Amino acid sequence: MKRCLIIGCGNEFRGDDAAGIEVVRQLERATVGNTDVRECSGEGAALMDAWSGYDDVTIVDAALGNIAPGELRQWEATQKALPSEWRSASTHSFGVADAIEVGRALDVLPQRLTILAIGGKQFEAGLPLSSEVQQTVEALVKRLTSQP
Amino acid sequence: MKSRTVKVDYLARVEGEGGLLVKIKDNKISEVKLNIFEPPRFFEAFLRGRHFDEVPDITARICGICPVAYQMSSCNAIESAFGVHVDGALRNLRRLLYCGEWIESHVLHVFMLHAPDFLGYQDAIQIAKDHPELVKNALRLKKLGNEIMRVVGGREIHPINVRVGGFYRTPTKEALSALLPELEWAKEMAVEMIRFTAGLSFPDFDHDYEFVSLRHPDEYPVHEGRIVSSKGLDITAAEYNRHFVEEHVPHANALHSLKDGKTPYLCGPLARFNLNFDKLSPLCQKEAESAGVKPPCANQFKSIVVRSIETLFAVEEATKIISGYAPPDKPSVEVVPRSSSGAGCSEAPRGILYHHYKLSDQGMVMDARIVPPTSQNQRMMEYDLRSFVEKNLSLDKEELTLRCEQAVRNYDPCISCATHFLKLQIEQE
Repeated sequence: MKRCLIIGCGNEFRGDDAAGIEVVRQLERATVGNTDVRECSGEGAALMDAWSGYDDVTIVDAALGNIAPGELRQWEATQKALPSEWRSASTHSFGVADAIEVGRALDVLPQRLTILAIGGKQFEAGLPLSSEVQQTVEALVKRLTSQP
Repeated sequence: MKSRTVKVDYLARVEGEGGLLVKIKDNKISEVKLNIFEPPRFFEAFLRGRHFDEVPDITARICGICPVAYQMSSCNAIESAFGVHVDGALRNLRRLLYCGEWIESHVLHVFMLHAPDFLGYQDAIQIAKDHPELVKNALRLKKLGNEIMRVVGGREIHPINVRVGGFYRTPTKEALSALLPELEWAKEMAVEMIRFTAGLSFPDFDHDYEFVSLRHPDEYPVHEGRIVSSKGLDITAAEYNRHFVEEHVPHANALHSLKDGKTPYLCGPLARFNLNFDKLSPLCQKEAESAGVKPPCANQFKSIVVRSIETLFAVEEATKIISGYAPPDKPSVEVVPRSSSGAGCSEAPRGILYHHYKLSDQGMVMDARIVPPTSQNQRMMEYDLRSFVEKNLSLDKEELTLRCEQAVRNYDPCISCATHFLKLQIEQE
């Protein structure tokens, strides 16, 4: 049977950076079929370790750059490289996008790797999710829980 | 008149947000500034009024790369204030937890952040393409560091098991022993790491640094010791304030730290290595000598080799601690608050981290001071840049810019740790 995983990345104390974390926390309280869910800070090596052994992995992360606050973009990372502007969105030096590209070079990506990027508005320490991101998080949780 | 400017708006592959500016006029350096502009954080202020029990967990949040350093320095300071002494198995567990952090931080820096500079790559992705087995093994070694942190600290990033007086719970002998086979593999990999980094080419860049690190009579310094320097300083953490002064500079959020208010100094792996070579294991000493790195090593570019040597040390130390581990009767010693002050220092992967707390008889924090290693090294980084550019004025601008970035990455700076100043003022070119 196909092993599925949803990973929420981010820092829960830095405003919209918590978007991915919030999604998987809500999913943990719901039922998502046979899909596992877990949180990750976004540190690249830990992320590569997290997806190891799974066939179908979805990463939910906040993004900066050419994306509007609350906008949701989907990217099939096994098929093509991430947009270059996403590579600067992480607060860590070896982040999500680096992990994906190193994983591609090492041939250790899952069969399917989907990135769900949520455009962030505010990333300062101590702030809550912006209303735009909050709405997207709720919509995304509904979508993921209704998927077969 | 001929002038040129080296300007890097965003320094890649350092933790946090920073940039650097070097201005050259008539073939002389007119200005060097390392700009730190990550928004300042107010940890020292919002620790006031919190209970001492919360401090290790709050300060751990200052950094995702070296949270154990913040937990250990805060515990040292508070335990010093309350007259608490942690020893035996609990002390060893702290040291083991710290070994995990050294391994994961050093391996990340050496392979993912710093090695690309030496190999002419833009990033770690290119190393992964050209040296896939090396990168796979590096990730496996880093994972071992994370695993040690998970077993001892409760989780890999921002451990939750550390408390003033010890731990909330201690691991079983079985849980720790399960790490031994991987540690055995890691010893070979760490030796390979030393040999790989020793084979890189290094610019001729010796500098008359004053090295500052901890020193302990019985061991290579990790989580405690006296503060010593290569120019004769030998003090306790409680005396730190009398010898080290922080000052504001207009172009950075982070404070610059100076010895006796005037002398820049260097802390971190190179300082630890030079001041404590005699405390390294015979294997570490032998591999260091084979790698051509012997104290006093005054070339910061060789810090990548020293990080590899310290990785081997941490692997050996972790093996030793786990092999001799017997779970203690209690996970922590009793802590009774009293009105007092205390200072503590430990060796974060990138250098000494100083904490000082003033506490009430109820154990509430009245005042806090935190001096991270990047803050202490910042003036030295600017000196290095000035000196390096002066010696390399013939390089074209692109090459010079890359080399300047590399010189900053020699320090493995953690800029997000170093910003704790209130005033944001960025000097524009």
